[in-house]
Amino acid sequence: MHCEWVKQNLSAYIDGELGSGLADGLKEHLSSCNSCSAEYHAMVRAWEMLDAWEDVLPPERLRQNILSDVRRFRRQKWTMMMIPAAAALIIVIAAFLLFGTGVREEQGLLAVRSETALVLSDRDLAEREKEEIIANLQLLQERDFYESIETLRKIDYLPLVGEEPRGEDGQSSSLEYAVT
Amino acid sequence: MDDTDIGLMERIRNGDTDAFETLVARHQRSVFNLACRFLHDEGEAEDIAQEAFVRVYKAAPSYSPEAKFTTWLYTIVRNLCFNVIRKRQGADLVPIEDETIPELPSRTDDPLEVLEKKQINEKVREAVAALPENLRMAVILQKFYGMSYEEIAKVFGCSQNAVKLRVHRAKELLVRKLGGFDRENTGETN
Repeated sequence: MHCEWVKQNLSAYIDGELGSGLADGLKEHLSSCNSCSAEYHAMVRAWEMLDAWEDVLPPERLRQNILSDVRRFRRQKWTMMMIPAAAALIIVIAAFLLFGTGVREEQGLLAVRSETALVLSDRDLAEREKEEIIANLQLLQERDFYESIETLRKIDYLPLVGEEPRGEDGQSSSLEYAVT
Repeated sequence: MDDTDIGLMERIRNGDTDAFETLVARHQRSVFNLACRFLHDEGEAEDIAQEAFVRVYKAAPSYSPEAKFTTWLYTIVRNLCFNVIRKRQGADLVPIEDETIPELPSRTDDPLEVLEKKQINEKVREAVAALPENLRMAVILQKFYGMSYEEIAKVFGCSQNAVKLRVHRAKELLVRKLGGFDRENTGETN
């Protein structure tokens, strides 16, 4: 084994992290190499000096503070869970109140509309009759016209304007009215 | 009842707060010390530990045990610690030496030994604090948490070879920082 490799693996050897084969080879090298052996012992001494650094007791308030923090976190978590549920409940209640009011209003409006419809229908009837009469007025006028045409068609002879009309016996007669 | 870390996480997911308290009690010391050793600041380490456990709780619903629980936990701590470092660098802050960290009682009553230990402790902390952040975290996880290169690689999201190089480089730097001090204390000469 080379000294360079041995010196680079002294730490792992001390920590028991070398495989058994490599550890045995390193141990054998140390037994015959003063330089590597000196470095090994210096490292072991420095490492063992760390044992003088003993544990310290944590303050009692540490445990209390930890538990207090966790309790606070649990309360916050519970609050965060309850807020959406409370909001949903408020929305449901508000919707019930608004919707319920709306139904009643709608029913009242329908009643008003029904009454109005009745009132409107009476008025509508008179108006509709008038509109019918007006719409049909022209037809009435045309009916008179067509009746006049029928009457004229039954007349065999129709004198010209200024000519004396003749009766059925060929005698002149006068029409009750003249058609132009 | 499953009291393993993964079992506790399962119970936390189902809303078991006792399981969370058990998890905190089990790991708060290691999390606090990891942050403390890395940041060299007790106040920030406390904040990091607090934030880390809150994140564990928040992540419980989506937690999937693909690795050891501690690997995942220390990844969270590592990320939080690195965020602090970046903020410090942005604000040009210098970590303040904290002299009020309560230490565990010494195993010996010999004042000289106590003093020596304290000096070594200080020197070690300085040496580790001087390491670049990636090397520092790798050393702490390997030395104080007994993590393998494979586990450290998962925390960093890098290859095992990269971890091996980092740990090796960190040890070389520690030897330079601590090797001379050690020889002074023990009277060894080169």
